[in-house]
Amino acid sequence: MSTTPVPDEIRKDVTIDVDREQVWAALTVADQLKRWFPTKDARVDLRPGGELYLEWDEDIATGIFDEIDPPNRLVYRWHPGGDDLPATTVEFTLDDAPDGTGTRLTVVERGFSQLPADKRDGNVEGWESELAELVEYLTTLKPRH
Amino acid sequence: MAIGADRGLDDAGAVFTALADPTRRRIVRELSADGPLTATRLAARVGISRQATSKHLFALADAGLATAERHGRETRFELDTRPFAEAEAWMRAIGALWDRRLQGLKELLERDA
Repeated sequence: MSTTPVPDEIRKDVTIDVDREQVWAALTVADQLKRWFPTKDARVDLRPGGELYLEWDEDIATGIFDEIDPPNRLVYRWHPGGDDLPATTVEFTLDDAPDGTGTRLTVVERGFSQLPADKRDGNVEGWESELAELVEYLTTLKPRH
Repeated sequence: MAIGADRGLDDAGAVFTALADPTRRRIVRELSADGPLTATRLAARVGISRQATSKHLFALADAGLATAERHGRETRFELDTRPFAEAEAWMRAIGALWDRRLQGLKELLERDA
C-alpha cells in the first residue's frame, strides 16, 4: 500500500489582465484587500516587521511582513486565529504574464510540516480557528461555473 | 460546527507534527513505499541505528500514524493512511480557499480595469 506524502506547500497562480502595480495595490491596500479576500476589516502596516490584521465576523488572523519588494514580491508570516506562534509563510510573486499582457500572480503557502512538536497545542488551536473559517467558506459558497 | 471537522484537524495536526522531523519523513516514505517493515529493516534503509528507528516508530504509532503488529519474533510496522488522507484533504481545502481568493481578486481587478 502506498500513500502520497503530504506536501509541505500549497502553490496557486492566476493571470490577471492588469499591470503589476494594480495587483500590488490590491495585495497591500487595506480597502482593496477587504474586497477580494474578503474580510470585514483589514489593516496593513506595510513595512518589514509590520502587521497585517484581518478580521471577520467571528475570527481574526494576523501576519507579520517579512519581505516587501513592490511590485514584485510580498512575504508574510501567517498567524491564523491571532495565535502568536508562527504557523505558515505566505509568499506572493508578481510576474509579467507569459503572453505579454497582464500579470501572473503566484501564491505559495508553506511550512505546514515545520511545526515544532512542543508547540503543537498552540498550533492546533490556531488551525482550529482557520479550519472553521475554511469549512464556513466551503459550505456557504456555491460552486463556480 | 459539526461535520467531523475536529477529527480531521487532530489527524492533520498529528501528521504535520510527525513530518516536522526529517528522519521521520524518510521513515514514512519507506513505510509508504514498502511497508509493513520491521525496525531492523527500516534502520538499514534509512541509515540510522535500530534504537533510533524504534523511537521514531513508536512516536508515529503514538500519533496514530503507524501500527505495530507482532509476527512471531518480529514486530512489523505499517502506516495508517487515514490521518494522511485527512491532512491532504485539509491542505486541499486551504488550496481551494486560495483558488477562490485569487479568482475573486482577478474578477475585482478586471472589472475595475
